[in-house]
Amino acid sequence: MLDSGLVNQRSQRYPIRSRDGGRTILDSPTPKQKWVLTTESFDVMLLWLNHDRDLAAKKYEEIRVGLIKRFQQLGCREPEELANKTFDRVARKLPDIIGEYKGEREPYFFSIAHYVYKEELRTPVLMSLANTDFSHPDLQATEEMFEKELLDSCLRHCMEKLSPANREMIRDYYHGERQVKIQTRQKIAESMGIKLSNLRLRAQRVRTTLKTCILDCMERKARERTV
Amino acid sequence: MNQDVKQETKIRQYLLGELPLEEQVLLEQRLFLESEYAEMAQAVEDDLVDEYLHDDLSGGERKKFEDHFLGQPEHRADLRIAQALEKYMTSEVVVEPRKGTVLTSIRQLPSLLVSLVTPRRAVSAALATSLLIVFSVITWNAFKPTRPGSGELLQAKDQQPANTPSVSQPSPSPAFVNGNKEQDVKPGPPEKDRGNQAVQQRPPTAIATFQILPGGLARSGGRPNAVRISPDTKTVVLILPLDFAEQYPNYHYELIGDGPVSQGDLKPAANSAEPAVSIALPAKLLNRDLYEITMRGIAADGRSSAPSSYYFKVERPRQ
Repeated sequence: MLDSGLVNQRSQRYPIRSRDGGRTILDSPTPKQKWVLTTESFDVMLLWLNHDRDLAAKKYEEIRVGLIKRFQQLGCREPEELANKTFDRVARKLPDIIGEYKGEREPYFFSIAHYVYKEELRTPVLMSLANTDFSHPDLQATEEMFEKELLDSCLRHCMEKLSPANREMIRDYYHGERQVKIQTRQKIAESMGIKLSNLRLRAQRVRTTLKTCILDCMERKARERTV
Repeated sequence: MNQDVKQETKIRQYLLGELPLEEQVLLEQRLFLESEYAEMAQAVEDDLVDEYLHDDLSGGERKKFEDHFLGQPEHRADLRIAQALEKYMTSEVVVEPRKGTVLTSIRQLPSLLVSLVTPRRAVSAALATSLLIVFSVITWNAFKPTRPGSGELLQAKDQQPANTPSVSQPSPSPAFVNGNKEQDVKPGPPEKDRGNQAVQQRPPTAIATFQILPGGLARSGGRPNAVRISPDTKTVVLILPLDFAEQYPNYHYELIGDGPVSQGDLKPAANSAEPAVSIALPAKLLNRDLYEITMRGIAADGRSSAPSSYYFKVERPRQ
C-alpha cells in the first residue's frame, strides 16, 4: 500500500479555521516530509527502465508524454506536475520493489500514476469521512456528530436532486436482501430492455453522481459553518 | 460476456488483495488508462461494499475486505456513504412497484417538468405523457426547419436529459426547455473551409449551431474547428459527424476543458444523410479557449468502441 500523499489543494487555497481553533471537517491531514528526487535515484530509475541510457531516456520521454496526456484527459489541473510526482514516486519505491517485481517496467509507472490520480481526487472532506468511525458507541465529540448529521442531511438532499427515474432505479436496485435483490435487478433490467451488466453500470454511475454530490454538499455546509 | 465475468472476477481479487504484484500492476495500469475499465471496477467495488454491509461475504473475504480494501481512505469513505444510503433506504417508505412496471415513463421528461408531476404513478404517467406532447410541440415550433439537415437539431431533444450522470453542474439540458423560438442560421459550408465560415458568417443568435469535424485542431488545408459565441448566445448546439468504422445505436460523449465539463449519452440523428450526433450546451459552460470531445460508440450489448476525438476552440468577441 502506498503512502497517502500530500494532496489537499483546496484546503491550501481556502484556509478555514473553526472558532476555537480546533480540528474541523475541512482540515487536511498533517503533511509528511517531502521526499526529494536525487540525481542518483533518477539514474537508478533510468537504468531500471533500460540498461542502454539512450533507450532509457527515450522510453522515459514516451512514458512522460503518455502520463501527461492521460492526466489531461482525466481533467487534472496540473498534468505535468502529476507526471513528475509519478516519476518521483517510482524512483522512491524502486529500492523496495526491485527484487520482488518481475513484470514489465512501463506498466509500473502507470500503476503508480493510478495512485497519484486517486490522491489528487482526495478532498479534506473525503479524508475526514474516511477516518471517522460513526459506529463507535461514544460518538460524543462535536465534530464527529456534526459530520454524521452532515452526511445524512447531504444524502437526503442529493437523493432529491437525482432525477425521479434514477432515484427509483437506485431504490429498486438496492432493495431487499440477497436473493430478492438479484431477482429485482433482473426485473429492472428486463423492464428497461438492457442486460444486467449494463444496469449495474448505470447504477454505478448514479451512485458515483450521488457520492460526488454528497462530498460537495458536505464541504459546502462545513465551510458555511466555520466561516 | 465470459470475458466480462473473468475481468470482474479479477477486479474483485484485486480489491481483496489477492493478486500477485505483477498482475496488480497490469490491472492498475488499465484502471488509469481505460475509463470504461475503471467504471467496471467501480461497479464491482460497489457490489463488494454492498455485500459486506449485508454480511454476504465469506469469512475469509470479510477479513481481506477489512484488512486490505478498507486500508484506502476513499474505500472507507465509500463504505460510510454506503452505510448512510442503506440506512436511508430502509427508513424510507418505499411503494412496491406493480408487477412488470418497475420504471414509469417519467424518466423521459426533463426534470423541470417532473417536479410538477404528482407522486401517484397512474396519474403521473398520464400527465407526463400529456406534458411530453405539449413540450414536443413547443420544441418543434422553436426548431422549425429552415435549412437542409436541420433534423440534427431535433436530435438534441431526443438526447436523454439528466438521466446519465453529468460531471459538471449544471448538467447540459436542451435549450428549448425555455421554449426559445429564435431561428437558427444556415449551417455550413463546404467541408474544407467549414471552420472559417463558422467564424465569419454567423450573426448573433440565442441558439448557435456548429459542426465540429473529428480529429485534431487543424485539418490539412482547413481552419481549426471554431465555435464563435456572441454575447446573446444562450445555447450552443454542436453537431458531430460520426467517424466510426461501424454505426452504433448509442454514443457516449465527454466534453473536457481544463477539466471535465459535461458528459452524456446520445442517439444518432435519424434523418441525416451522414451519421452524426448533436450536443446542446448552455453557452456559459464554454468559458475556456480549447475543448476536446471524446466520443465512444456503445453497442447494444454494452460494449464500447475506441474513442474518437473532436477538438474545437471557442471565440468570443472582446467586450
